[in-house]
Amino acid sequence: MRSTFLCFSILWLSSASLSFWGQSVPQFTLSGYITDAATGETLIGATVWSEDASVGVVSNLYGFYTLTLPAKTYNLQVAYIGYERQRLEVDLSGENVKFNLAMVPGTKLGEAVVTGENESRIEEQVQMSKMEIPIDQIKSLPAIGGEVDLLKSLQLLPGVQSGGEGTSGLYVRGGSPDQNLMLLDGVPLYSVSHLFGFFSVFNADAVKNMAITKGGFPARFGGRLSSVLEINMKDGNMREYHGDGNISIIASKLTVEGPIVKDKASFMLSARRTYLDLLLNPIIRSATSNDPDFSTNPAYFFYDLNGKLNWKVGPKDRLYLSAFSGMDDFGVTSSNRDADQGRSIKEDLSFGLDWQNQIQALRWNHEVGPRMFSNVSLTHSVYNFNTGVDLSTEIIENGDTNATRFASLYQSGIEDHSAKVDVDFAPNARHFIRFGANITRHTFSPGALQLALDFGQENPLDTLIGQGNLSSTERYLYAEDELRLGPNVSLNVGSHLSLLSVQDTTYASVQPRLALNWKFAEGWAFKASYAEMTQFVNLLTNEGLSLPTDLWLPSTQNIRPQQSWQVAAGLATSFGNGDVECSVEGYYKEMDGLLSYREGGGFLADLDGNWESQVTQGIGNSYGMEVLFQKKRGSTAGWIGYTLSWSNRQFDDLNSGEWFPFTYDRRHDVSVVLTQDINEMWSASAAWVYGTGRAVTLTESIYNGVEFGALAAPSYEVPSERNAYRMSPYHRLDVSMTRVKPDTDGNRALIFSLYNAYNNLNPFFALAEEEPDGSRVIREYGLFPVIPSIAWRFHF
Amino acid sequence: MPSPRLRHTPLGILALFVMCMSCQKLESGVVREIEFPEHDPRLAVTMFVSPGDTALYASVYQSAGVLSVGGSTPLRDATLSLRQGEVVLAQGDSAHWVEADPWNAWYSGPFMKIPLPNALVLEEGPLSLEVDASPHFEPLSLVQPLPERPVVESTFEAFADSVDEGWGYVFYYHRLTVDLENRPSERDDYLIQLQFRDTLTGKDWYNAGDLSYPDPRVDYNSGCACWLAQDNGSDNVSMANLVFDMYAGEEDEDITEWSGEYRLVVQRPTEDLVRYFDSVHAYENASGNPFAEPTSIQGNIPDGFGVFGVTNKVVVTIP
Repeated sequence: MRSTFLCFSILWLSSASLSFWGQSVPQFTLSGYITDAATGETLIGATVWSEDASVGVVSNLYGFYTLTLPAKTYNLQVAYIGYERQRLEVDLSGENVKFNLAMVPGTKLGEAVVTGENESRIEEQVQMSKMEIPIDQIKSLPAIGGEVDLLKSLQLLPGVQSGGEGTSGLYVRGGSPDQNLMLLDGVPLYSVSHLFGFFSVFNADAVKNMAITKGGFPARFGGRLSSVLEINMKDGNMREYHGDGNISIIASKLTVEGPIVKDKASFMLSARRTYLDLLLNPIIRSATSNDPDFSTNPAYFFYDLNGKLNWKVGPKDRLYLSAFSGMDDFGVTSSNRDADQGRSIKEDLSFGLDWQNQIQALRWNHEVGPRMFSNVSLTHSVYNFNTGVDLSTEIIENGDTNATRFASLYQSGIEDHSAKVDVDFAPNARHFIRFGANITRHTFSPGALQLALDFGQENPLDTLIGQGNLSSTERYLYAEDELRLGPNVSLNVGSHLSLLSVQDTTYASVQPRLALNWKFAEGWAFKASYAEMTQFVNLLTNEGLSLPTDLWLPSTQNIRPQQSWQVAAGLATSFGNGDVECSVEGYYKEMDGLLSYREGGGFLADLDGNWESQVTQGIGNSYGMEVLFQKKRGSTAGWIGYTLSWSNRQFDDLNSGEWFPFTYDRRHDVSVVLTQDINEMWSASAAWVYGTGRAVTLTESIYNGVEFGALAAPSYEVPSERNAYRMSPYHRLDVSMTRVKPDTDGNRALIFSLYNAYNNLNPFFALAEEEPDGSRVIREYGLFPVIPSIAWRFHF
Repeated sequence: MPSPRLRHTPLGILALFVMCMSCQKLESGVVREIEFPEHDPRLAVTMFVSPGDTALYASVYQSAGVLSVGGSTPLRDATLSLRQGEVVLAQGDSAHWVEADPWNAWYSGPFMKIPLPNALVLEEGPLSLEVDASPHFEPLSLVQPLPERPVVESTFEAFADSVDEGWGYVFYYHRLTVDLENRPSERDDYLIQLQFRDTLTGKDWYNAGDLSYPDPRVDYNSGCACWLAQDNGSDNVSMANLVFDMYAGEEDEDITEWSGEYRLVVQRPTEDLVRYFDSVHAYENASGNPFAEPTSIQGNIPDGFGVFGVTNKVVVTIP
């Protein structure tokens, strides 16, 4: 199967080249950048459409477009969401034309203008299983604590599930969170959560656009099985200085951007910090102030910084320097003093837990020619997790001092250095070829425990338990071509070749990719895709509970890479001048090499640090159907999404080798999202979600059995078959109202929101507990009741 | 077209309704009890058999649901029979139930102790266990093979090592090197116990000894309270030179006048029993760890709990 696809890909690429070189009619190229006329910011995904030739292109990640057509004069339309459509006439009868297009924004999202033009309509796109939500629409959705969260918005889309109440992890088409490639300006981020997963690290004010691909992956994507999430930071306003701010009950953020040299270089800087510590500390201190011998001082904060520099080096070259830094820091220090009958005790405890992400990316865009565009990237990404405890006790009795100390520090992390080149090549209107290569050096720190024990012995213990760093090198090559076979049939064919070198072992993988778009009737398209994927990094996590303690681990001599193949097919259409899109997709995915803790395994379960002995590998499948109705424009906008799905796992060492449902096997998942402009001052939004309860393993039975060699018959409490129970269904309504201050042109707004408006108890976990009378009950614990919040947003 | 006030009235009523519902629910907090399916009781039988046993220990219980107050119930009327071929080796009934020793009673229920007139002698061939726990359960019959007798060689070195802990404390250790067999094309698992008995104060044997150095072939297993040595089915893993240290005394004791004796017990278990011990080990390790994955205990009782475990053993008395 795989080799057939590979041969097909190669054969096809050859024919593509031939058809290019064999052109007999002279062809000329229109190329350039598409930007926002007000800010100079490049626009991703803007459409340039030729009605005469019935072909079009979409601007790439850097706003560059190129369209090669037979010699002639053409009428073109240029369209982008929220911007006024442009029409222009271009003479391509004698030479290539370089034309940079500046789009004028509509006055407001919803009133504007068109975007559903031709090439950008869902039925025109070859790519399937890809979804985008405009950032402005995300900002208008209800948000917990008034803090807009990009990943939680994605969880409202069909095929994308949340990990549980409040968490920002993504579970895409039955995959686990590590199977999502999260790219911020093209750099992988390994931890995307703040506050133990309740917020994501992505600051909406710093982001230009966001798109998620759940299947039908083009060959340029690789390295993960389930999805690719591309998030691009704003480049920075090239014309004027501006700022955006948001003050909410959880955190505040400020974004400033502007030109360094007008129309030549710009910057964007965005910062966000929570102030939970500032709010809670005085309360906790006052609660413990009655006891002068005891004090406790908890602290928690997170922050993130986004920064970007954008420099037009010349007419054909641009440099981008992007950086992100985010950190969560939680700690408690407590001290206790006690004196009694000549004996005094002094105890000091400090506990700390922090995790941090940093990325840096230097990217160089170069127009090799009107038909070819290249990007070279050097990137660095690092994620570290540390947790430690330090307990010291001093007892003074009869003049003798006895001091003891226990301290431990657990550390893990991953660091990547990467170099990448990507080339876009549009030889003619029928082909759009992309190819590129990448090399990444991963350095894993799979968990090490520094332990110090001092009980007054002559040689206090101070030792390191666990494994040292482990490195691997990952390389890939890819080539793909988006081909118009005719006016109604398009293909994207490609192959992704990847190679991992680790511990004197090499894993090679050839991953064919194919996507088909067949417009079988006016306004309707049938789409189908096939993709194989390979993943060389794994996140070792407890099922159902993602924590910063989760370990990033490489494939090794003993741990084979994760692999999958996915086939998807569906129908897509749009109506109402492209305002309303509708898609129905079915998919089937098989996975191999899935990693899981063995039974009894988990964080700190095996202090010798030999993580490979704690894990086991297995297979999985997932299949289902997704339906999406989406209205992107107008005073009433939103979408309705429904997913019917199954996801199962099989590990020889788990559940007696039998298949079991994945914990996020969610039969039904519904989301209804609505945004409504009521009048010039008020707008409203609401989101309602429903999902089948999470599959969980609960302690089920008690029995006694004799011990081997010991004269006793202890009682064992054993769990059900794996994930045999379902927690209660999840459903929640969030609403928000936005009031724009009159005469500020929308630049000052108050946002009132209610999270979980009808206060449904959405279970986070379930426990069997013993009551005071000895009886036992099973309880579901939720996290968030109804949470009202208010935020103030401003723009200057 | 209705006036804006009229248009917004339904929205206001809906908002009011939602808020009233929310406030009413707030008092119930974010915890709720849920119904749990009624437990379907299952038979739980555990018994271990090995040649040389002078008594057999077993348990026959009816499992209980996790919400049960009393826990699982001993089936004292159940009868139990161990056979090899047509030969009845042992039988247990209500008369054989005993309470746990006082120092174990805090965590132990009653169990069956079936004294044997002579040390158990087993022929080659499978053993069968029959349990009649009617009317609660259908009769159970289970067959397990008798594993091959292990081939054991050992070398004992008295006072081979000493460790100066400072403050005048010097601890002495004997060393025992154990050579076991790796049978071609067969999986070899061995349960190893080094035991000590104080001949003056008692007749019971206690586990003693530790690996001299970390050995990837050997792990301590809390399921059997022994060292579990495994070749994982590979012919390339030598099972020779497993080195253990046994505590021999301190300097301030007269170590040459110790009144104890040592022995080495090596048992070859059935595959089912290895799997059972591994799962009990994981279960006990995970106990109390909130981060640990749920752990089941892998037995071999059809549609029930527990294990019928058979080993073949060699006991080496150390001079």
